[in-house]
Amino acid sequence: MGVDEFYTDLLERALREELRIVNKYIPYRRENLCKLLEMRTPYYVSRDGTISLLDRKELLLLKELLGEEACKLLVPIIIEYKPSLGEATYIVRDEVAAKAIARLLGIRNFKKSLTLYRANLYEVRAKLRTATLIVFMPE
Amino acid sequence: MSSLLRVRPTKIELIRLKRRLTLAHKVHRILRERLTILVNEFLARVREAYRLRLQVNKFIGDVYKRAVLVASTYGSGIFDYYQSVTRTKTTATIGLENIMGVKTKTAMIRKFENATPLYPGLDSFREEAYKLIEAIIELGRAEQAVYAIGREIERIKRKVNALQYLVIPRLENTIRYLMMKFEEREREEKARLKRVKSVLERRRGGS
Repeated sequence: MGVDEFYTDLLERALREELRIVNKYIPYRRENLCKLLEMRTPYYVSRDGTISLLDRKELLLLKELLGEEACKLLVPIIIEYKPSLGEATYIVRDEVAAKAIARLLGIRNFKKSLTLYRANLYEVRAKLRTATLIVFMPE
Repeated sequence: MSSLLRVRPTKIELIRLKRRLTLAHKVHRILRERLTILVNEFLARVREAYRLRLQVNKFIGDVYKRAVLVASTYGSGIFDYYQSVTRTKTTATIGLENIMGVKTKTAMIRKFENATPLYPGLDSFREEAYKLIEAIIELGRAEQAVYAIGREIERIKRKVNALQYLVIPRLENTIRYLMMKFEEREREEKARLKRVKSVLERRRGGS
């Protein structure tokens, strides 16, 4: 194998690895909000094995936003980024999570999933720092 | 470094390069988006750290004044006495926080809810001291996040620049070079065929 071939092979592997590690922090399993609130220290386990803490204040805020539906919400809320949707466009597919975020942002018109733009995303991240996760979905 | 990759001029290589270019574009787009979000998170954390630093400075002054007042009323041994008779229940859990894949240290404080009433003045001192501890923990968390996100931004920026100014242009140049080479080969082939045809026709006319 020549130097250039070795280099390009390495490059391809590095690019594929980059796509893999960009999402390594997504949770292995998500728990519902009520269960998390019962825990002494709410946390979730990521795919790479790290334990990430959740802020109780944020969980209480979500409970307040959802009311009776709070127990159906899986935390952390996953916000997807898909390049095909267009730059700076994000989507929340989970219906309950979409409802919580829509109420947080004061959005009334949305169907099952909620589309967010960068300004909305910054607002959501400011209020729900630990309870939301952005996941990259390469096609 | 050369702006072209040294590859064999074959169709298979061209297909491989095109595939690699698509992958590079995809990674570039995702990393750029991640960088934008991280920069915003970084700025938010810097603002938060600044606000908390001011808050901590204010709380330190308040708690100090309150402590002087309590000590002057009950004597300087009051704090030792309070500590010896109280079961400390306010706890802090230290763990990790995940900000777009950046791991930062964090701590969550849990207040002792059912506090028994103390001497007048000591209650408000306890409340203010709790606020100070909370603010210090929040400040530590925000500053840790600033450092960690800063390091990650530096790393991603280098990757994005490498892709934008080195990897993608080199792949594009190589693809363009290979396509030109194939076109050239095709033209040569056509010219050769024409030449063969004319030679054959000349021979047929001669006989």
